[in-house]
Amino acid sequence: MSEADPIVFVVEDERLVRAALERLVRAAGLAVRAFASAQDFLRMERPDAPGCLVLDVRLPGMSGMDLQQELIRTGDELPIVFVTGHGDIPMTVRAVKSGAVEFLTKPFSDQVLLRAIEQGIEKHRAARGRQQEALALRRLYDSLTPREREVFSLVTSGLLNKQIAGQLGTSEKTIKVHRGQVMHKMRAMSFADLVRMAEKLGIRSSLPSPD
Amino acid sequence: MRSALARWALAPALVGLASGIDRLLGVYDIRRPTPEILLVAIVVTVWYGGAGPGLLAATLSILSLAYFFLPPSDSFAIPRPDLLYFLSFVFFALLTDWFSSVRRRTERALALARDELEIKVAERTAELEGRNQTLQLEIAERKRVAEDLRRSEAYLAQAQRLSHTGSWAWNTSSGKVTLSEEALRIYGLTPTEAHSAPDALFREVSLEDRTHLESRVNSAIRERRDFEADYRILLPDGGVRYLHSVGRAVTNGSGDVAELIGTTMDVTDRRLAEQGLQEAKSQLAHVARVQAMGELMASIAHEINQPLAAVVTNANACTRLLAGKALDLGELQGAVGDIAEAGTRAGEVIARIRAFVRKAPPAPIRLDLNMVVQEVLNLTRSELERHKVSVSCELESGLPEVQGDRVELQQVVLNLVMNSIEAMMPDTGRPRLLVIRSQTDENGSVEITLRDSGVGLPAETADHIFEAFFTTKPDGMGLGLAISRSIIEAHGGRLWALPSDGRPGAAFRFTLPPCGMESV
Repeated sequence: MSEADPIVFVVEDERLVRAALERLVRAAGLAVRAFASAQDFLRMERPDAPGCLVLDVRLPGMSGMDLQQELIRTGDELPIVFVTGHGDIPMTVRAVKSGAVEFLTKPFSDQVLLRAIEQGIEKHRAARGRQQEALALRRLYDSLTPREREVFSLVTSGLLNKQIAGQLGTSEKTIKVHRGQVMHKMRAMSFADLVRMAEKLGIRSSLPSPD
Repeated sequence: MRSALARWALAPALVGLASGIDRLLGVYDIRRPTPEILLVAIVVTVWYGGAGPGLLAATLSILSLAYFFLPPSDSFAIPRPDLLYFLSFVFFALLTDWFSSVRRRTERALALARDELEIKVAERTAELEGRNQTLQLEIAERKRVAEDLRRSEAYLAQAQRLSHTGSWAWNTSSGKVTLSEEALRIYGLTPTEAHSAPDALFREVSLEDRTHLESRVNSAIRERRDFEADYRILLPDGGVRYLHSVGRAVTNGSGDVAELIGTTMDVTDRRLAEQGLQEAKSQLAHVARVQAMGELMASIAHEINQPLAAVVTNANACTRLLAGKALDLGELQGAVGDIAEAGTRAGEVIARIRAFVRKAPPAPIRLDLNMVVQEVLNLTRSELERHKVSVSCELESGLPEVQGDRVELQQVVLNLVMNSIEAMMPDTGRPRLLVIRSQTDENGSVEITLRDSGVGLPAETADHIFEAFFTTKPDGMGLGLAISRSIIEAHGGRLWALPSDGRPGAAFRFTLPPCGMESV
């Protein structure tokens, strides 16, 4: 499917810097939306598009670091490029450890900033791709019957058909049929494919799950 | 004679004795009766017994004559031939008595007069001796007083020399000036010069101070009161002497000012020391300002980097826009305008810091303390944001202006703000809030109060915080509050820590007198 155009978000309280960042990003051919505070940013309804957040560390009220933690808490994977007027090493380390793409000290080179923004967008795109893939996989998995799910789990944990039949109290032949159904419904090309899917879905139990 | 009885008894006794003797002489017929012996008895009686007993003796003698001496014997009868004799005896007896009495009285009066004279002489002698003694004492006392006076004058001269204080008297009508030795030395005059020149006291006064001194002296004379003046005199060697004079207008009987008397102290050494101290203080304040700027380094870097980032980013955007196919003139115009604005902003930040750390002697001007507070908040805005301190300003509008040096007063406010930020660094669970209030107090002074929500002042440190080199900070010099207090006091105000009254955090307040009320 075709993806929406990426958007760069800028959160910077200093009017002149905010306007300059907007201009630079626009001149680089990217869509941009700027905010004066973290709260304003959080209030916005986010379009479904890949993006990157250019975030000032020091902001009135909620700081840039606080906003980063808030995004992590809500599972938002929007990549962050930090910019600061005066950054110390502990602050940089903390930001990068928490997943920031880049930590830039003002005044910064436009190339470095734009490269970081590109990186961020790519990262987000990949994350969004992974998310979409997982979503699709989850939809396929949801189409399985409870019995098929049991078989899926046991098969991918490495048990033989006979063992599974013993555990579930049914015949080996029935298990073979279920297994074929699972492969078909999950659109798996091979058994190895099925195992990878199980990993992505987080199905790793060697014992029958209660449901 | 002792008693009256003895005196009266003398008369009969002597007359009896005389009669007896005569009778005895007659009995033995030694000689013919001589009644004149009775006159002797009268004389003796008068002499020792007095006039009364004398008269008694005369009477008894007459009776004795009639009875014993004249025939017929042992009878009072007087024969005719003897009558003349008898009468002449009576006459003589009475004459003798009277004469003796008069003599005796005279003698007595004489004796009495002599006695009185002697007493008087004794009295006068004693009196003279007493006066002589008093005179001697007086002479001794005068000698002592003269000696004391001489010594006291010597002490005074010594004291004047030691304290560099000379005394003088100026007769305002004759213009005659009398100067003590030390005063002559201070004014650099010889006694002749002082006497001949009526304006000796003013002659060497520096031109800048002369009007001021003369107006003080003149108003003291006009209003008949004391005066005090500080002024400088120029020495022949080109040096300057700083003097402090106090004087009093002395009025004569008719109430006119006759004389001005006073003292002049040479305060040159003290004044020079004060100037040196002032310079040292100002240098110290400068060092403290530079240090405060050092502490603000991170914030200053941030404040300068912000506009720089805007400049660089806008310039980069322009480059990209210019390289593009279609020129967006609106976007370019916006970018260039912002570049100019950001450049100006960066310049302002630097100018503010330069003004703050400039090294110049204090220059008092009229200023609004609210402005001073605002300027400091501009300087520390970034620092406050960095430490998430919110500031609440309750500044009274229309405050009276104060007289002061802008930078020094900024320094005081900055110091208090920085201390508050530091006090709020540890996590107390309370929001970090700095309240700055300005108002006019009941005396019309301008009052600035800073209250933070930090850790507060422990009682044991509260007493010492204004002492130099006392610090609770690991890298502090302990001069901030000491310098702040000395700045405020030099401006005629006060700086102190408010008691906590159970509220969290610390509060500091300073007051400054409004313009026109500051002490000179």
